[in-house]
Amino acid sequence: MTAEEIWKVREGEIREPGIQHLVITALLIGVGTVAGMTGVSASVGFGVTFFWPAIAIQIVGGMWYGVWGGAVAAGTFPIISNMVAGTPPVGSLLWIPPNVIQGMAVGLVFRKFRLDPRLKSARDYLVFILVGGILASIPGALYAPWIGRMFGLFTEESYRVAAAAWLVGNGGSAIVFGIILLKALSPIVVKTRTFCKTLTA
Amino acid sequence: MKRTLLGYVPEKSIVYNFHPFTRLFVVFLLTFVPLLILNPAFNGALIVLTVIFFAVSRIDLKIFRYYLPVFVLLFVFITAIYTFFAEEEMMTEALLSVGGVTLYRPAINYALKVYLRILGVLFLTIYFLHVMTESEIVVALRSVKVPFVISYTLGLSLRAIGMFLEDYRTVREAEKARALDISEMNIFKKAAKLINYIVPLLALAIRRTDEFSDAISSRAFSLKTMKNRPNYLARKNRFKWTDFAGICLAVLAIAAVFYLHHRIP
Repeated sequence: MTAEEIWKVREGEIREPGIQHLVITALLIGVGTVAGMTGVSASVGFGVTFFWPAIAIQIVGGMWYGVWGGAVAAGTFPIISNMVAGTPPVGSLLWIPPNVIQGMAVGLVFRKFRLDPRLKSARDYLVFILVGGILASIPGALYAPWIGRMFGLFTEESYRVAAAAWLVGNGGSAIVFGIILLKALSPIVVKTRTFCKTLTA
Repeated sequence: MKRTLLGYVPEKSIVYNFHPFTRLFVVFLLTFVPLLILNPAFNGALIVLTVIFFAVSRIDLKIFRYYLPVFVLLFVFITAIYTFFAEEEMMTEALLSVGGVTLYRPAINYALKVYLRILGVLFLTIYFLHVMTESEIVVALRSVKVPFVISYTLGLSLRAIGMFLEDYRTVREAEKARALDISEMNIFKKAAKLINYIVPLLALAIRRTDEFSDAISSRAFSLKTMKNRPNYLARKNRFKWTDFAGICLAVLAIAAVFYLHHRIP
């Protein structure tokens, strides 16, 4: 199966959202929450986290399951895992935009340019690192210290340091964990009926 | 004892005299106090109130020891921010100077206010997670007419968390049997080894998707028929006068807090 074949909806092929997409959304929320709760996330309150391995679940969610994994699950599970770390849902709602960007960006680019989610070529790796690891983390890195500052967690003087720490911590874990997950599971996922060739099915 | 999202609560706890929506609403409302008010008097009072809630609900206060590392980490983090990156207007009155690092009284005062604010939020959230079950959250949402498809997916997600936590323990045991025990490792090694747990968990999720969706489809559920399902849980949980009293009291209390906050300089 080539990268082109992975994304191309063949003639006569019916792809529409089904119950399986609802289920994978729920299960990704479950896995993402557990991954975010495993005790190594460096949460400092109000959803600000300098190392968050669950970012990889958002990225692969968007890559494999379009809006179900990259927007719905990626936007929802941080609310639950943040709650366990002591952030109320009201505070976590502010995090939905950067989480959805993190979840959807690389999936959108891979669909648009017909790149291989199994990361077969140097181009796949390069785009994944650039978009999924760096570009998708930038909005979060700029936004996190701003949110933190709103609640007094950061000062103006610490803005740059906080943004850099966010970018390195979360961008780094997105790259490392994301590549491992895609290499390990993409070959299986692309053959399942839940895999989304388009953004919704 | 009744198992809740994060612990156990006695079946006869007073908290179960209230509808799940009332519990959800009151905690939701109270979280606005620390989110919008920095005054340490209000946030300190909120912490005391939450501890009273814990005691009245007959929840063992020893559970706070599990959160002690979080409390300490937050304290260290916030103090460090206001020590090394204090705003210029806060660097007016030196309190202490050690090894070239100066602590300023206004900065430390402000850091303590922020810390109390975060503790207030933390205490409330911990309380919420200790008095609610997965199904009660679904009941609370359905009682205010949240669409079935949303409350159903959320209910499934909350149950999935418990299921994956169980799987996580199984994977850990399996890794331990292969001589990998991350509990003894430092935080950096733990982080590096974390992928050994995420891959199997995600693989399990992928495998279960078909099983779950087949089971759901065989019960005549589909995205199109999910709109008007009978609300069985609503019949089991009805609003009582205590709920209206509780909600009114919470709204009045919050209104009083915001009024006082604007009156007190």
